[in-house]
Amino acid sequence: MAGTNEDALEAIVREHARLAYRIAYSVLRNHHDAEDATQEIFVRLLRYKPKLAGIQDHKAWIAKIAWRVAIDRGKRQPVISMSELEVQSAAKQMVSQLTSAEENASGSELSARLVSLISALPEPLRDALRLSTIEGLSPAEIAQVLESSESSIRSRIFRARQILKEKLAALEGKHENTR
Amino acid sequence: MKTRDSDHLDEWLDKALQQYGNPEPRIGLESRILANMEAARESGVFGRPFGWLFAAASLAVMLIVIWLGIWHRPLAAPQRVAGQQTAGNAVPQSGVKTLLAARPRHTGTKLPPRRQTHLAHAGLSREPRLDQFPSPRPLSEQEVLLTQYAKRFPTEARLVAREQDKFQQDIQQAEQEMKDASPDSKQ
Repeated sequence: MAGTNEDALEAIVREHARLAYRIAYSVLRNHHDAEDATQEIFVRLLRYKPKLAGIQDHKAWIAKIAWRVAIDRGKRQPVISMSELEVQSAAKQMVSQLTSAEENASGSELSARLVSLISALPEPLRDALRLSTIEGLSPAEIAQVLESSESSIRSRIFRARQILKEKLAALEGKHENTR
Repeated sequence: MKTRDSDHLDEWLDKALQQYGNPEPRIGLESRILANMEAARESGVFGRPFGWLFAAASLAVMLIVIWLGIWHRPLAAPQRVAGQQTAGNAVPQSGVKTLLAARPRHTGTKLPPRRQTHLAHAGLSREPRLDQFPSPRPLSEQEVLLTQYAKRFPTEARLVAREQDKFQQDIQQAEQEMKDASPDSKQ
């Protein structure tokens, strides 16, 4: 019985470690912290080992634990609040990169700029958008993690994207006018 | 024109968000997690049944040992004084009072009252064993028999004792009379 449990645990680790890591990374935005959080998630899982057999959706369950661990760790990190000016400057840089064909290829830099814009979003929209960017997490699973309805999650994601697009479009317009 | 821009933004945002949400961890994440879990399982005292009980018992034993160590620690000063007493052997063997009176007085700083008391106790406890005190001389065979007799027949023993006293007095009186009647005493 113990051996079966061990095997099940190892299978869960192999199957969902990346998902847990990505969820942690989406909050912490740092590889080192995300890995630490992932380790913590699976050590916590040891406590629930006897209950493993009773859990139906391992993926959603781990996603929920991962989200909680990451949020807890994120609260311990110093908060970097961005002023409207800083958000605008980040967006401007993105737009200039977007217009340049060469820099369009360097996605990692664009992604770094996007972080600033996403962190400026209101919390409910930001959380839903962060989780929606993770590969393999459906809106239904995001709804389970955030303890909300699927339709609410869909609308939050849509709204968050709208805001991001509006900011980018406005800044792109300004950028073109100044040329 | 606007829709083209919007499509362009959408496309770009999709791409950027995909990159934003799917970072690749360092190679071997799963192995590291499994190794860490194994280590946690092996070292996790609190995960085992009665783990808390074991930890609490260990803590209690440690506290008792520390407490005993603090309260039964011998003080350095009393030992030194006692050592002087035994080494010098100048202490008269006539009991505790004499021993304490003969104790050398401290030069230098005065000890607090509690330490002085402790000092006196230490002096007592480290006194060399004396020959005649405090252990009494054991009773002789005759005395033992007399004690037994007195316990068994107290009335008779009292009468015998009284008669013996009377007899002793008579003898003493006769001796005195003889002394008075002798010619040497008259001169």
